[in-house]
Amino acid sequence: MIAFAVLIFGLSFTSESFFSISNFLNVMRQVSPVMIAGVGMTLILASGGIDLSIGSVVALTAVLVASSVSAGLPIPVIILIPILLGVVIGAINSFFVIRGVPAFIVTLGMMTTLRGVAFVYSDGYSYRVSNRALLSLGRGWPLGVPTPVWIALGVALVVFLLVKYSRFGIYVRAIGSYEQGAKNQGISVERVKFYVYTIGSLLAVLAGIVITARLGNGTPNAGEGFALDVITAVVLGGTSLFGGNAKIPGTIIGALFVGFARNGLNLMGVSPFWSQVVTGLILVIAVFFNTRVRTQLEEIIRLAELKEEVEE
Amino acid sequence: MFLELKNISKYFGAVRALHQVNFHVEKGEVIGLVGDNAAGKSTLMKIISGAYTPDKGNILLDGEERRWGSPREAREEGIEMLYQDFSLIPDLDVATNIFLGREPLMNLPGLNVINKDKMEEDAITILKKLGLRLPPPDSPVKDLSGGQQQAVAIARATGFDSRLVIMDEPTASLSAAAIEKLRRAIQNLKDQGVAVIIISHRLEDIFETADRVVVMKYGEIVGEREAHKTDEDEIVDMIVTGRDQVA
Repeated sequence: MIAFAVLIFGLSFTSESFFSISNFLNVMRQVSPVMIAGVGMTLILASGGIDLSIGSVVALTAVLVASSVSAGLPIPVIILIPILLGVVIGAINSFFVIRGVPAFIVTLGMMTTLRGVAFVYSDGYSYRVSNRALLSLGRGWPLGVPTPVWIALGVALVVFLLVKYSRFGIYVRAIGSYEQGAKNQGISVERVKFYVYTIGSLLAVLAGIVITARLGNGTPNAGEGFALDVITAVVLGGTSLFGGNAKIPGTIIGALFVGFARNGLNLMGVSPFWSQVVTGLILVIAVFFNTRVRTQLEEIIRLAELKEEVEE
Repeated sequence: MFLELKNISKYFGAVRALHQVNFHVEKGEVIGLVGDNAAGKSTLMKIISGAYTPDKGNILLDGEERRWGSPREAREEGIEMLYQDFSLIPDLDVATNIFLGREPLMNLPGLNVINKDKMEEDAITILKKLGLRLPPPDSPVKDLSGGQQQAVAIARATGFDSRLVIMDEPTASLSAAAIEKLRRAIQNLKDQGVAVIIISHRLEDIFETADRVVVMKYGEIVGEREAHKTDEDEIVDMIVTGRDQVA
């Protein structure tokens, strides 16, 4: 939070256009896919997992949706395809994770596989999108706010309520905090993980649709580096990489941070190559604090505990 | 007879974990289950608590044959397990830990919204009823001391009309004061007619609390004694030799 305030403050000096409302909404629009997929990633990290495949899910969604729209398939089919895609990928990821393969490896493999499928399917070409209904998902501005921002905030609100007030939300955090304990206490770890990875994939699919609609074309190159941006946003938002907590509002702010950092550098005339460097560094620094603060806290608690045991 | 296990066998691949075990629990009875490592104590308890299903044999509850597929189903019958490591969730608060898996819901049609206020109130009621020191119900368990965590685990295992509480090495990592607290909790359960099974390596704990001592070795029950009709030497002999010298 403090870092975010400092960033906004610092950048507001560098460029006059940075602080305008239209620039703000523009950045929001650009990062809404990060927010949408970030909400899913928050659940996955909270459960003690990770999903590196979401960038490739975006690519596969992009080519499938764009091609099925331009082929003029019936609308129910066009809607059904991405939903099915999300469920199938979530099921595959969780199938292996539940059976003890580290999520990092499973989703790394899926990242390569799905990117490959996107290229095979499209033969490396991209599909132009001219359908107005689809384009409006990425380019519309109802009530003066871009459609992608509405979608992102809606998704965030629903999952925020889920985390805070539902059994599912508690079980996700319980599994990420201490999986064996959750199992011992009768929580169906397999079922919760299936839902977590499926929600994660479905939201990556949704992010892919928004990206496709905004760009007006579906390319197998879509979503390169997307997983990195999303994980950076989630970790910046305060969700632990090691599971146990889920900070949905934090993820939204983290995504804005990533967006504004890139936008600020852009307005300052810094090359986009450098903004990649910066995003990577932000992730490392965020994880550094995430880890260090945690171990320090645990140390303090351990000492307090020892003290109390001695006094008892 | 409240719970009875007949001819229970359990295999893990080629390993025979339990062989034709017969075991029963009376209402309000405290059983000490002892034996070397790999004697099959934990496997037997996990079958009772629903974590494992037996390969052969029957489980009878109140004389009726039953079979449960998960700890949740066993818990619905009032069978609770207090794990050696407490199995609490460090990042969740006290009330949520006590109620994990049976959270009270608000009365909203179609929406399963957790009733947090009721959960916290009830958590305090349970802790008070059990005479346990009150940790703040909204603080995460990882911020509590070992003694406070024990209180939460006991509240969780005994606060919900349980009929049988299984305790796996409950005293292994506890201070003298905490062990005393646990003994009081066990007596409390017994007075209410709740059965207790204690797995422990410390025979002094067993003799202090148990009515009956059951000895296991190599996946079989090798003998049992009423606690006041035996002594530590005889039990140790049975644990080591795996034979009941009298029978």
